[in-house]
Amino acid sequence: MTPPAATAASRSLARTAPGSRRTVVRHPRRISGPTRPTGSARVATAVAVAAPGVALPRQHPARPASKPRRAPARNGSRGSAHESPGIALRTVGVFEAVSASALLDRLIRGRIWIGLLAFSLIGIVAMQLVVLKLNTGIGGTLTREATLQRENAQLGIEDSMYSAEIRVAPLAAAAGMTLAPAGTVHFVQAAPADVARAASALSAPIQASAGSQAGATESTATTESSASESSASESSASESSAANDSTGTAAAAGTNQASSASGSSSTEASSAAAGSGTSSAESETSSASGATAAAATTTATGGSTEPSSSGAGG
Amino acid sequence: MAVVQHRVGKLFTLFFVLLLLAGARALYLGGPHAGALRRAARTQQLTNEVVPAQRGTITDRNGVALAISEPAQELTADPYLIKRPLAVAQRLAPLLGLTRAQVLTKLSEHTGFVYLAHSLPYDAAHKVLALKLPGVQGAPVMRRVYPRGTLAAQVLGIVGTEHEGAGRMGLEYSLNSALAGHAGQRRVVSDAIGQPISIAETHHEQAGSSVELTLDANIQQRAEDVLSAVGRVFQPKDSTAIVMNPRTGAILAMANWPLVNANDPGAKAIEALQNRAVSFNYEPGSTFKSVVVSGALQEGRITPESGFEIPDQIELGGRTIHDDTEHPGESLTTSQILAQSSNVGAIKIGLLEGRDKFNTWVHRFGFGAPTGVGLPGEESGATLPLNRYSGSSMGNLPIGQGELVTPIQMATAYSAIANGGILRSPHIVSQIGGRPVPEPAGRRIISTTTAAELRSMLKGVLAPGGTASEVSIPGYQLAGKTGTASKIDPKTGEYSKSAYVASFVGFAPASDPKLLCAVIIDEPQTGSIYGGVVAAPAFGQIMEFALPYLGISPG
Repeated sequence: MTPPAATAASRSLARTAPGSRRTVVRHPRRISGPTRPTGSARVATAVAVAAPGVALPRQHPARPASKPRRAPARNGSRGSAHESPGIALRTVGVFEAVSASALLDRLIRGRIWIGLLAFSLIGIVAMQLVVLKLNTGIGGTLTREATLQRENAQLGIEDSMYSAEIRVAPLAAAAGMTLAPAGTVHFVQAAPADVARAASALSAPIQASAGSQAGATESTATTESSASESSASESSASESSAANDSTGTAAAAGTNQASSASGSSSTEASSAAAGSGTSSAESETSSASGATAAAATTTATGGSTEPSSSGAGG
Repeated sequence: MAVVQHRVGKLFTLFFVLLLLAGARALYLGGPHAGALRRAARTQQLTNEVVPAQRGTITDRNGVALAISEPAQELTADPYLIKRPLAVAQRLAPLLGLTRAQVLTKLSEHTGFVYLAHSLPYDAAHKVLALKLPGVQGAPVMRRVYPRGTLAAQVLGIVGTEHEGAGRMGLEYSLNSALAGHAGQRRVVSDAIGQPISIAETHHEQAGSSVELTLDANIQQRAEDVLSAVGRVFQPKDSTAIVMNPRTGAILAMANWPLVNANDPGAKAIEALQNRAVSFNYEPGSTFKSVVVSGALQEGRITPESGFEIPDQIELGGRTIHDDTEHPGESLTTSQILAQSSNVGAIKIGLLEGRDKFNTWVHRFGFGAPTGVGLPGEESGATLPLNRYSGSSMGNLPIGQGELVTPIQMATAYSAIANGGILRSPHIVSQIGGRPVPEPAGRRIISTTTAAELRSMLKGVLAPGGTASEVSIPGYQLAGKTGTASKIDPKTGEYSKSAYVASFVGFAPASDPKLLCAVIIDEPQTGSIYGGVVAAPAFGQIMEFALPYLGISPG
């Protein structure tokens, strides 16, 4: 049922009239400027203007006339037709309740809202500053990232250059290391029993220096024998070769220059091994293999000198 | 009281009018003038920075960096904004590594944009930008550095300065999609003094994947050193060497001479940048005889002990082919034919095999097609189609004339002999982005027995009486084949009497090969021209280092 507009207006007028039943006594409202007279409250405003300083009871604005409800659709679903106006009405009701709530009223009338507003404004400004600082921090982080990336790349480059043979080989040569000739390098044929022997050797690291000396002597002997074998094969090769002309000799000379050790390296290898720190490593190897090693040689590769082996029989 | 109210009303009106004016101005700035202001703000405050992607690092099998990227700056200038070019050039020249005249020439151009330096190292660029010269700007880029300089330069290739440093040659080119990554973009809002107040990543940059190669930097270095030594002695036009694991096809070294510094590729002619290991087509000469013998052995036409009557020369299709040295008629076994590299003997075996079968075996060993090593610019060689065989074709094809091969093809074919008969594509890339690249599957082309027989026969080449008898490595038994092929003279169209290709392909230990090396020397100028004298010693020097280095026992 839609009430007639005149009825609603008259009800509104009756509600706003002074001395009506629903009027409640409220605290005097602080007026800080000209208020906009609305509807039937104009008379009261006029009185207020005529007598400034006089506290007047609060005038509620006239409730707007409710719109005429649309007739429910004949074929429409009944549920939706009933719920839609219900929600709207409830929303309006909530809005009115909030507007008329004493808490809001007290907040607006009092001085708390000034503090609240100031706090909010200061908070916004502070947040902006934090964001700005954060962005500046991001900029700094990006710069630092680029710096680290550059340093990392630089370290990678240096690492690669430090391990280059062109740098390591002279340093190794200065330290008395030579490249072991291929023929002097022997490899151990590991047997299952060697595991136990190696384990026992680990428990007693360096047994005696006598073993290493024996190993070194044997090493030299083996090296020399292999070197003599190689020189024998070289001589036979040169005899049988038809193409052993002067250029061939030149090529062989170039070959010998390029390789760091050849026929004369037997004594060099053994003396270098004895003179440098590799001798202790050899003695370890010898003792680990039960001092039956026939040879222990060094392999200088990329600047590292490592005990590679002991005798084949070992 | 009324006066006060009147004044308050006036003030209110004044403020109201000012508010209206401000509103109108705001409307004007936000409406009709908005576009121009937006553009101006973008120019002054907003910059879209390109964040270059870090190009992936290329390492060898032991993780040694062979190619690495580092941040750098691309310096540009607007000559119109530079008031005193001479003074600016004087300040910039030492920092840019240029002469004052060079910088002044750039700054004097009648244009609004000139490049001062491409990929300037960060430290130098930072010093330039710290001068805060008006009109001089820097843009971040990545600079490719090859720490080992000449090491494997032709294999690694080069990176261009344009298009975000895309690969131009070598692996940098073929693996560019994996190495390059994707550049990002950053939206930076700066304040009045240029301090960034807002940074937003509109596109995240994606770093390129690192690539691990099968190359070993130490073996590669040794191979290059040896080729350089050969270059000094024999002064060839160029040379190449390949070291590979015949069992897996993994390439451990791929050296080219003349050497090129990858950090300064412009210093050498463009031809020097070519990876001749895959792009050099040459007539293989005697190294091809192993293919003929393999086929005949596999077909059961011959055995290693089969005897042949070898005259000094043989006539075929109106063409006379003779052995390298004059000799009376002799009887040689198949093994001796290979060891002494008899042309007549190889032709006789080829004739025994027949042209159809011979042609089949040539293709079965992979000749005439790229090996699939994955390196750009790989040539496929050239083989004579069967329907174009003439009466004299079987007189020159079995001795390695009339067909073109590449060094990598020859190394791959000999790998099949070394590994027991399986032809496997060689490969040089081990991992991409930490993921292993699957090793190519092989296919059997000869039986293990044939391969073993052939290996045994090839030992004779390095034995006394063989063509490479001077080469030996104490403790190791070597096997291989020499090759000396005369080149076609482009002027006459006939075989030259002064230009040769000397080559050697071999492996060790002969009975159970674990390492293979191919050395090809193009046009040695001084001294000998024979493969056994020029290339075989180089093979020996490389293997002498690589065998113990890799811990390969003599077996």
